[in-house]
Amino acid sequence: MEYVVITGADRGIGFALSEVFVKNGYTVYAGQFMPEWPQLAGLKKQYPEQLHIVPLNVGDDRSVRAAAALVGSMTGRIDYLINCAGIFPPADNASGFSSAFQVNSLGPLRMVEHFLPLMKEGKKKICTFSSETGVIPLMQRTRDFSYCVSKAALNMEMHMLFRKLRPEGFTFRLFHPGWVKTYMSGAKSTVGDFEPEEAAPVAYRYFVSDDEIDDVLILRDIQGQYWPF
Amino acid sequence: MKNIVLIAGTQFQEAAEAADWFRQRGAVVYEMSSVANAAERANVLEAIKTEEKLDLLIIQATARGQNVQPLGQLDYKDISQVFDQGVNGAHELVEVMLPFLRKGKKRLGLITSADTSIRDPRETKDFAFAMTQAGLHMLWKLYFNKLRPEGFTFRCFCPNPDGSGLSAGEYMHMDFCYDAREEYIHSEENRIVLRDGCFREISW
Repeated sequence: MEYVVITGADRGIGFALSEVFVKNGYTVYAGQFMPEWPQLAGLKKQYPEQLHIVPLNVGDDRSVRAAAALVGSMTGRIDYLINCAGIFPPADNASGFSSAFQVNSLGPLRMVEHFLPLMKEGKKKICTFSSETGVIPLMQRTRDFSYCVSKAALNMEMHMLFRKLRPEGFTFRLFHPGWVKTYMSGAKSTVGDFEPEEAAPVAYRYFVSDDEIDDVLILRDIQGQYWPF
Repeated sequence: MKNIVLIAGTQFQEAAEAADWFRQRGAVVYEMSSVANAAERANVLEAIKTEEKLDLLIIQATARGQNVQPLGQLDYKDISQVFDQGVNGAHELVEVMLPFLRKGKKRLGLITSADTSIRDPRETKDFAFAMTQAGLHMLWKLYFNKLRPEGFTFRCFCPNPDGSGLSAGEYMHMDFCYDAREEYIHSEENRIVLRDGCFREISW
């Protein structure tokens, strides 16, 4: 049995990925930000032994600490940490920059920091949903400043963590899921190239694979192509 | 007509030296010690209004974390504060100065650090500093995409740590080749890159 923590598991890709992992026999600790959203509870009914719902707001340090303590009370190790939670701010103002940074950039850092003791006993895989929006050399957008800035900061943070933790045996997966119909702006997007249920199995295969180039930090997309960043 | 230059971040040596460099060459130079200082911004805005244009805006927001700690003891308040002041401060200042830059020579300059290349981060401990600079690099790229079609030019400069090579003032002042007939092959102004004091490109 292997153990997985997934942030942003309420809906969208996070939920779809939780479903893929439990169907493949993993024990999943699913970070729940929206207890009023019913999907996770439904999945819990289907997989009562494998799925554990954990209250989690990655934008709040105390919440992440509490989640790590709760998971630690249920298991002695975590094999996979999957950073999926993300937001898309409605405006490029001070509030938008700050909120995107707290969730999209610092959220994964908080998760790595507080789950690190549990991960040291497991397979040591840190998997993060990044984005082409964090790839400066290929950036073509003229808007979405706060979101793109937060993803660039995330990519920097991941490279710093890679430099620190790779010598300790950690491996990293950075995944760009493409244009997915997500809930990042609040309501589910009606436009996009992929449904969450299409992106999640691809992410799953990438995350659990052992044949990647683990000594180099790379960003891979849903089509298996590599991105410079 | 004299160039009107605004340099924000003169609390840092490189920005302060750039202010002196432009002043010695006859430019009218306005300074802000910190890009995030709202009172300074309001005062400078009033001055720029009287000038009716701004030729060059240079920002340096290379503040370090005040409480850099190892994993397990990270200070998120400190990291957030450095980011908010650097990125929000830069964004707000550019936005408020854009109408005046459009009437001037339309150049935006950023003084940053080669240690904060995402591809090759030499900074490995100070998340506040490195993540903020990465965010600023992305911000400059986005502004490049948005404003280059209006004729704006962009500079991102990483001073050599030992002070050798080009100074920030020199680099910000340089004009790069641009040929409207061959926009892709003979027009350096149509690219935005990080360069150090030896004029070497640094990976983003």
